[in-house]
Amino acid sequence: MLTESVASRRLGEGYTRIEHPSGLTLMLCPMKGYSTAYALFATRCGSIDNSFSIGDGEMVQVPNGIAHFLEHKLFESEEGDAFEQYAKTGASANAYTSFDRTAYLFGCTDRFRESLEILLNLVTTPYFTEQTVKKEQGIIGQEIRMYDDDPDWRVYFNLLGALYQEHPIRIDIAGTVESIAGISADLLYRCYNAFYNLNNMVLSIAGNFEIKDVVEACDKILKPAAPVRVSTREVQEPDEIRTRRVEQTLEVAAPLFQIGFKGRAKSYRENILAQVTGELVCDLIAGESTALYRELYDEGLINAVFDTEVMAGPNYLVNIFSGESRDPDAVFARLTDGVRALQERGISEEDFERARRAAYGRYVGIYGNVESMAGMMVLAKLADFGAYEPLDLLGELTLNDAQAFLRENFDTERCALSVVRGPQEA
Amino acid sequence: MAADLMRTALAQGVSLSVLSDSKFKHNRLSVNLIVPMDAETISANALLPCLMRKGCEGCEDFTQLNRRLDALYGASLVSDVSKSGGNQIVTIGIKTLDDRFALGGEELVREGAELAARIVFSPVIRDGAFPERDFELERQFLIDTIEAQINDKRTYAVMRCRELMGRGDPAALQKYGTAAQARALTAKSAADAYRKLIDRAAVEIVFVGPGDPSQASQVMKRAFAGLERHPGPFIPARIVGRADEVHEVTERFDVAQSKMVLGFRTGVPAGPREQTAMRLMTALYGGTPSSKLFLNVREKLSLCYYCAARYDRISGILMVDCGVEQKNIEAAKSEILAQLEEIRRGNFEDETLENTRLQLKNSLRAVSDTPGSLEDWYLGRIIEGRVVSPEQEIRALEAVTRDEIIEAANQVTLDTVYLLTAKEDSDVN
Repeated sequence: MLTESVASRRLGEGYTRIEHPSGLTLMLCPMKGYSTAYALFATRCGSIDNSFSIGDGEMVQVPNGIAHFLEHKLFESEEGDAFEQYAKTGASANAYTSFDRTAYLFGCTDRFRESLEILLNLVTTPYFTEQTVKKEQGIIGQEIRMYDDDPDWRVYFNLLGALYQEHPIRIDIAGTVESIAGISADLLYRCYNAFYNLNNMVLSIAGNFEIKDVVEACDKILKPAAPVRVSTREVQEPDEIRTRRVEQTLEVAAPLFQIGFKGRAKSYRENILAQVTGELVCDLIAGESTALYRELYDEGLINAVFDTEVMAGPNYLVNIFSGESRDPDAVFARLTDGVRALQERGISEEDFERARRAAYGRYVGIYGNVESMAGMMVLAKLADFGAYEPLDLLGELTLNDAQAFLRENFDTERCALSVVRGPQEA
Repeated sequence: MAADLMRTALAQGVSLSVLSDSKFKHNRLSVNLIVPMDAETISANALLPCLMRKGCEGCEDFTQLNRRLDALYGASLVSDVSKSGGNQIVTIGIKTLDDRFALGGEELVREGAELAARIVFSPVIRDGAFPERDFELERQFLIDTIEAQINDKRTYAVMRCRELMGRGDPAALQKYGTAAQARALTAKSAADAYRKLIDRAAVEIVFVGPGDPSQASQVMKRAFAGLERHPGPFIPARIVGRADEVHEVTERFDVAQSKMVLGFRTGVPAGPREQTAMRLMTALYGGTPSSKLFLNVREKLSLCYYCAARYDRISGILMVDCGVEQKNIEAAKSEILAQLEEIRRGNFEDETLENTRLQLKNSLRAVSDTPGSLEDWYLGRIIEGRVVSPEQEIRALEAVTRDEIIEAANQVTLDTVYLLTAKEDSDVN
């Protein structure tokens, strides 16, 4: 069993990476003094993976929303749903699907070994029949309709649809009522066999547990799998955005907006690491310490709900500014002006240093929390970086790095505004 | 592991509670200013944390204050209002990176405490008033927040039921007060409210983290030294023992799905043991995915989208809230009551009871894993006047017997049924 210790010089702590004989990668970080153990079993299969091939086989197109559908179905087994099994161990369990991954998780303070076995069994024992698939289509259909009415969700996906022309990131994670109607038990098994091969997965655990218990449980439950090579379709995304402005009417008190800048996407790993720099640059453009934030706030154009975020993954990188405003178009205009002005005059050394320290302090916090540590290790394995790399990157980041990010990833020709407004104002 | 809570008096009406815990990477310091809930002052006090967060001596405006926080390695500032029993709590807190991670060797516990002290004692007030522009914006934001409460119908319905059950007890009022009250405030009256708060508040300072608490304690001691203040005692909520009749209240809105809240009285608890039994009974009734309400009302009969029970030991109120189609309201109500009857008769499996106990123990143990949950836990209990640790509560939970759960269920009486439903002229489905 290949075992590697990964340590952080800055924090004086580390985690262990094990290549288990079954093919599964284990990322294990026992954390002294914590009561909770938090475990994530994840695969690099998200909503964007809607076309793939196995080995040298041909490319298969699967219905949108299938990764999420698969997550729902795996959460059930022949013995009933996972919640019932976890109820016996007292663990709290869940699962989620995002653009680039699916994860099954639990948190517990006691009877860790039993909960872990439930998790391993759950994910490695697929059970789909046409009948259970049919039932799930009804349940997920309701979930999709609920999201259709959710203003925060809509304003976000409308933005992605405006920025991207081809990339499947523009499609709702759960798919549509029509697309999931095309899902069958056979298709689910096909996806499962491609993406749930242990060689393509990671088990990440942080907090109160012992490494020995994890290895023993894996030895007992996991059957070695021959590696499969899964290729997903290369996304041909044009540089240009689809449209600069999109608006929808829904029941909201104050209009919601999201402004996005389509970044220059590189490799998965590069995009994820660039996120760290991106967050810092977003702060320098319109964070609470900037003159621009203050002007917008004092003029009543934004309120305390205003926030910035960077979203990165395979072939995508987006910088987002979101909030509530009585005049989202004015915010859009001021923000793009602000970006251009900062590009022209450059970031000052003093501002950069302050923002770098702030980001550094926040990132240290990630490693002091069992949930965020486990999440970081999942991403580290899937996108192929060391879990402490983001912190080291911040420790050594230079003003030039930030300037370069600002130049490359904030093109005011490649940005869009998404608005959701109440019917009374439309 | 977390050490025990250490409490010291820093000045008259000012106490410091310290929880040293080496596992964390940040230190959290909060200054909690605690005054009785009073219909006259709730909105003014609710506005104060927003105004205090705008600037202070040495960081005269919002931008400067945030730059200072950035320089302290992204320290986060908490400015909030909450309530506990009959008390309103204005909190100014700061979370700073532990000194051992500071790239430049700064003393962040001390610097953070100094900044917090300045925000509490030296907000920007000129000529007896907060700056007009800041005041206008923050008051509007408060009004918007109060008016937006109706957007989240589930939370709103629970809040309304609690309010109705209070029968005028200030402890049952909403923590932000009313929009009308907020509108009546001025930049000057807010500054008056600030001075009154500082004069009358009982102050609880809480420090959680790996750092040296004496650094924070010295700063705070100095800040309060020589102040002549008039703090009062904590006010408990008024507990009504039994419901004498069921009050039914219906309010109509433009909604598709109805929300129903059943408010029960749980009796004046004889002691902590009975409270713990009530907590476990509530979880068994409707607190987990294996509870009576979840399995029967939601899963088996599909009467509700959600149906859950919660118990508030401070007010002695147990509430069941659910989202329900209009045509199912009566059926849901009788099923919710029938499930309570099941527990009263002892119709529950030992295995379900043990699973529920396990889940509660899990969440109690997890309290010690984040500084924020530790702070909430202890502050709540200090105000209640009975400090127990999560570990003590776990032991109490282990001791609860089946008979005590049945007894707890028999204590419960239905007081109020609050229904938030569609307007009468809209389609009934």
